[in-house]
Formats: sequence, structure tokens, C-alpha cells
Amino acid sequence: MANKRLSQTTTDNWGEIQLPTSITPFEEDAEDWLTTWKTVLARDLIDSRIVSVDAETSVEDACDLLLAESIPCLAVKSLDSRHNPSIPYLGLFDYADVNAFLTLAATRHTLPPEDLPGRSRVNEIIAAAKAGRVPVHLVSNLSEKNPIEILPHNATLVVLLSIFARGTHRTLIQSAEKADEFIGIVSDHRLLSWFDSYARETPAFMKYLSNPIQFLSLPSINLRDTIVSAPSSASVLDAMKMMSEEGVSSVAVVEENNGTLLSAVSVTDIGKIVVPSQSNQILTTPLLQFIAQIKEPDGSTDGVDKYPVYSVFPSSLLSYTVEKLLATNAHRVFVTRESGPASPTGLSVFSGNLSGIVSIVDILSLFARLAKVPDIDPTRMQRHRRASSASSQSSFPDGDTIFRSRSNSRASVTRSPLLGASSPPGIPVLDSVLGSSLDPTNLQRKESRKGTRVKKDSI
Amino acid sequence: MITWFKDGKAIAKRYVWEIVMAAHDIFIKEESLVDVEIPEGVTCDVIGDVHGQFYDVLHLYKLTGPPSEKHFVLMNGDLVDRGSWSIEVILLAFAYKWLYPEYMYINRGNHEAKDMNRTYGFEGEAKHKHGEQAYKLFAHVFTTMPLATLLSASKPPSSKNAAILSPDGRRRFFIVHGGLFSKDGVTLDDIRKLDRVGRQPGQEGLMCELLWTDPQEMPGRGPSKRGVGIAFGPDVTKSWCTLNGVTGVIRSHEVRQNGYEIEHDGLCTTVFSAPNYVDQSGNKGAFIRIDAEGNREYTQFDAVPHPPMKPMAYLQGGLSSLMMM
Repeated sequence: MANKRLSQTTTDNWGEIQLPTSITPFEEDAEDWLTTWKTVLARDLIDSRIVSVDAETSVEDACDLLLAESIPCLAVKSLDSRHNPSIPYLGLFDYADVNAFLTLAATRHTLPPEDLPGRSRVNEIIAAAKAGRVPVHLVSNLSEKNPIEILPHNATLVVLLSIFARGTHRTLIQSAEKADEFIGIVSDHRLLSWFDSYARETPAFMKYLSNPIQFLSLPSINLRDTIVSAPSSASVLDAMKMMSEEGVSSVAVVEENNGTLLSAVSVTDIGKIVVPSQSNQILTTPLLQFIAQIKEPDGSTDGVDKYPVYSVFPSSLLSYTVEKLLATNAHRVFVTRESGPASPTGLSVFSGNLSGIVSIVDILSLFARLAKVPDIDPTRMQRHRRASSASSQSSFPDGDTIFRSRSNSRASVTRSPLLGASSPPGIPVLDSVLGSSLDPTNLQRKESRKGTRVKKDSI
Repeated sequence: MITWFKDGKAIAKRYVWEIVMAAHDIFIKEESLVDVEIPEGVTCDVIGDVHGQFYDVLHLYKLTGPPSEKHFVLMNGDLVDRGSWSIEVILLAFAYKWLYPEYMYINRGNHEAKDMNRTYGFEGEAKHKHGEQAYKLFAHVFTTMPLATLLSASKPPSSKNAAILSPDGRRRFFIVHGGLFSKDGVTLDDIRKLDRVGRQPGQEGLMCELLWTDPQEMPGRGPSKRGVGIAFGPDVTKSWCTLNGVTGVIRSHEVRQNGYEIEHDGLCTTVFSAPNYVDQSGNKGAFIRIDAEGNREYTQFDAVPHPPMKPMAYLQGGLSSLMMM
């Protein structure tokens, strides 16, 4: 997979000049850094305590706890000691899981009634929802992007790198005395900020970071048409579905006519705005409006209004990109083409100026390569998610089969206008999440109305 | 017109166009850095962000008085977005500019820009009240607004302190919405010569920095949590002021609980004039009165009540206003 991406970089239409595909530092420098990195302990980078919930806690209560504690994830306690006596937690629960759950709740009437293999957990969730209450343990890692990773007490920074290089965003650290006790969580954000400080003390490393990002082999910098994006008229539900099925934590929002990058919606925004929402009208809200709702509280007390989207150019330095990521507390920045006569005209509607993404784990995977970590693949979980979501659900009606492309990453996931057509308004199903009781007869009525559109029902 | 607005009425589209076009014709003749000298016996009031809070603006103008021969007014950007009377505020300001081009001055703020108006309410409000063409007109005229003003005293200061003075021995102040720059060595001329008409501040460059940067306590420069621009420390301010013979930088762009704050050893002052920002912050507003010698006087004021309409009530689409009622 990595080779395929490198070849994409060389054949890009940036002009006549043949650009080098990847800059790597001198071997001696990399070895010096590696020696230092091996002496840094993961436990010194703990940036968050562990907040846990019982496995039987309802999803709504777990969401409330996430919001109340202002933390990105919870640890779900095991059901009983049968599960795994040495680890008290069966998994984690974060906003990506919240999004996957909400999307499932909102779209479950489009799923075929029969039990498909690989859908057993989904079926359990649906059954629990019908019964009125979904326990959080069923939703833990529903997104398949939030596995529980555990490191021993004396793990080094290099081991930490190896975990983040596979796309995970956080890891638990065991205590010194007992293997079933934990002292905290280290996040990818914290590790990146460590590297940022390290660069300030280490000139050779800073020099490496002072290269434009287009010359470093970042995996998602040149995705172009395959970036998950939606036009500003698409609905919130469209965005939620995309994030859940494509295994990404955010969707770029682009302008209707020319595909210019406007802003982005992330699973955290969904958690903070959709979950507490009083009605499910929020699901049909167009993204342009939703963005305004996301941005409204920022700066409302200190007047520090933020720019609607965080992006960099292919020529921006890695050090600048790192600084921006850390200063804005974002998980990723978008890469946009620089404007100017070099941009070709007459491209498809969604070409716009968006050309790639750089996320925290992408950058950490670069450092992992320097540290000679084996098995670096930050997009693996994302690909796995796309494959599994494609195979476990039916295709959507009205020609959305294009959206359901398998693990072929060249799928045009940006064909959202079609998706918009299939999102029904006023889904009572979601009421169970948003506080009121579920009415199964209501659900049946909706399904019969959809009978003419959902062609697969009869199979 | 003011009474008309206060009662919640909109003026006819024709008048909107006349006012905005007149303002445009005046702005377009101004340079990107406007030089204003305060003659003897005259004062100038510098007003910070007001963000569509029309009723607070009316109260403010009661305290300052309207622009006149004896008394100039300078509004330092961010007149629109957030508050739900952005149209009334901007039309009032433009009308004053038309009436008194030599006594009324307005700087562009980061919210006088397309990317921000789309998300923070002005686009919705303008389209709702006066239509799409009117919004496009505003968007273009915003690009003609000057980016900064250099306010110079006409008399040398009576008290001699360690202030940095202009080449001819007088105090002068650099009034800009955001702040200073990511590189050293920017001169007043660089700003004066900036080609601004039709351009948006974007995400980097001199125009962007003028409208977006913030001061920080630590020396040096640092990244900005806004995602655009930088933060600059006291040493940056000192060397810039010394290089350009400027007594101090006056800027806005951030809420200050007391309405204003003097930072960077007096070289950088933030003034913010939207009290109880978005009905939440509970802050005071303030304005700075500068006289012909360059003495500064600070006045604070509180929020006044306004008709029951939430901030950002005009987000695009009827669905939102339904949800907000």
C-alpha cells in the first residue's frame, strides 16, 4: 500500500519539475534521536486520567459522562471476571463510537431484516434498542477505530510510537505494582507535543521538521478525490454516515459549486451538538448551518473567534503543521492546493482546492519510521472499517451503490447529493437516544412508507 | 434613521445601496494605512469590536457623541457578525462615513470577510434583510476598507516620559484590528502600499496578520489557537514600535473583561467595545479618547438591554430560526 501512495506523489500534476518523493534525515542523526527516544518513558507523558463506566451503563449516560468530564474517551469496565481477569476493562468508548451508534440508530430501518454474518453486534444493539436500553459495552469500539491498547509500566516512547503508528489515538499505561491497575492514558496529541519540544532542543531534528510536507512521505497528503468530503448542503446525518462508514473522524465541508474547502465536521462535534439536541431535526440540518452552530461557542467568552477551517499547503513546513495542530487542538489539518495559475481548470465538480489530510498519527508514523518501528500503517483501521461496513450493510437505495465501494480506496465517496436524497427526515428511532421512549409501531409505519424506495426489502 | 432602526424597521433597499456605495467611493480613495492627524482642540475616540450589538452601539455613541469637527471617531473593525443587528451597525457607520468623511474612520476587521460572514451570521442577516445582491455589495465594499490607521498628535507631548515618538517628536498610535507580524522589519510604508481592493485576508500574509494576530505574554512569537496568524510577544512590539517611531499599538480582536487592557509595558493596548459579548461574557466595553497631544483617556461602559433576539439569529435557513425561537 505504501508503494502505491509514493507512486501517486511522483506522478502528480504539479508541473514540469520532477520533485523528490521523500526526504529522509541522515542515518547518524536518526540513530542519535532513536537513542534518546528509547530513554523516554511513556508514563511520563500521561496526559489524562482514566474515567471508567460500568458495562451496563446506558449509552446516553455514557455520552453525558463524556461531555461532562470533557475527556475524549471512557474506559468500559468488564462485565465480570470471566471476560479477562487480568484486565478490568473490556474496551474504550469515544466520540467515534458515539457517532457510529447514532448513525446506526438513525439508519437501522434501511438495513435488511435478516441476520447477516459479521452483524451480530449490530443485531444485539438493535434488539437492545427495541427493548428500550442499550448498554455501553455493546457500543464500545463500534467504530472499529478505538481499540483498547495497554502498555506496561516501563514502556518507552518508541513502543508508544509503534502503537500510534497503527492509527490508535490513545493507550493506557499499567501501574508498577499490579498489572490490572492503570495509572493513566497517553494520547497521540501529547506525544506530538513532546516531539515539538524535542525539536526545539535538537537542531538536527528541527531541520528535519523544517521540510515542506509534500516532500515527506505522509500517507494521506495526496488523496485528492478520495478525501471524505460533503457539500455544504448535505445534511448532518449524511456527514455522520460518512464518518461511520468510511472510518474517519471528520468530514471536510466543501462549497457546492467549486469544491472549495469551507470547514469540517468531526465526531466530537456530533457528540457535543447532536447528542444533547432536543429534537431530531438536527439530523436534517444542512452542514453549512451546522458549522455555524459548531463555531458559535468558540470565542464567545474570550472573543477569540477561530478561523472556520484549519488547513496547510503542500509547501507548508512540517514544523508549522505540527504547531498548528497543537495550537488548535485539532486531530488533523487539511491540505489545500495553493491558488494560482498553476491550478488546472475544467476538473470535475468536487476537485476544488482540497488535496489531502495530515493527521497527528500520520506525523507520528513518520517518526516511527525513523525509529525503525516495524508494521507502520496508520490507515489500516480505516480500511478495515470501510471493508466491514460495506459488507455488513445493504446498499442504499437510489443509486448510492457507488458509495458502497469496497476496500478500493479510489471510491468516489464525495457523491453526496445522492446520499442527501435518501436521508429521511424526522426519524423516531433516534428518540431512544435523545431521551424519549421508542415507539416500535411508529417505526413500522416509516418502513412501509419507504417500501417503494428501499428496493432490497423484498429480498 | 437611527430611530427607524431602533424600532426594528429596515430601511428601503435603495437607501442601503446609496449609503454603501457612498462609503465605497470614500474608502477606495483612502490608502491601506490611513494617516489622521488630530488638530488642536480636537479629540479622537477609538472604538473596538462591536459585533452587531446595535443597542450597545447607540449607548456608546451617546457617551462619545457623533463624529464632528471637534471630535473624530475611529471604529477598529469587527462591526458585524455574532450580534443580530450587524446591518444596522454597519449602515450607521457607513452613513457617518458618508456624512463626515474627514471625521469618521473605520478599519477592516477579520469579521469583515467572506469566510467569517458565512459562519458567524452576517451573510444570513444581510441576505434576509436586503437580499443576496446586497450581501455581495457589502462583501466587496469590505475589501475597500482600510486595514489600519495611524493616528498622530499635532502637538508635542507636554509631559516628557520614555515614550517612543515619531521622527518629528510627536506621539502617534498605530490602530489596527489584529496586531503585529510574523516577521521583523515591516514598515508603515509596507502597509500603506498593500493592494487590498477585492482581496480577502486569507490564511497567511501581511493582510491576514494585520487582522488576525494576538499579543502574548511570553517574548518571541508563537502559534495562534485561532488556526490562523500568530501571537506576538512584548519584545516584538517594542522593536516594531521603535523601528517605526510609533508610541503604541492599539488593537481589538479579543474580549477584555474590563473593556480595555494595557499590555506589553504600555506599548500594546486592547480595546473591546461589545459589552456582555454575545449575551454571555459579562464583560464591560470601553473606548479610548486621544487628544491633540496624544494623551489617552479610557472610558468603560456596561451593556444595555436589547430587544429579545438571540445573537446569530440569522443563520442560513429557516430551520435554524425555528429551532431558536
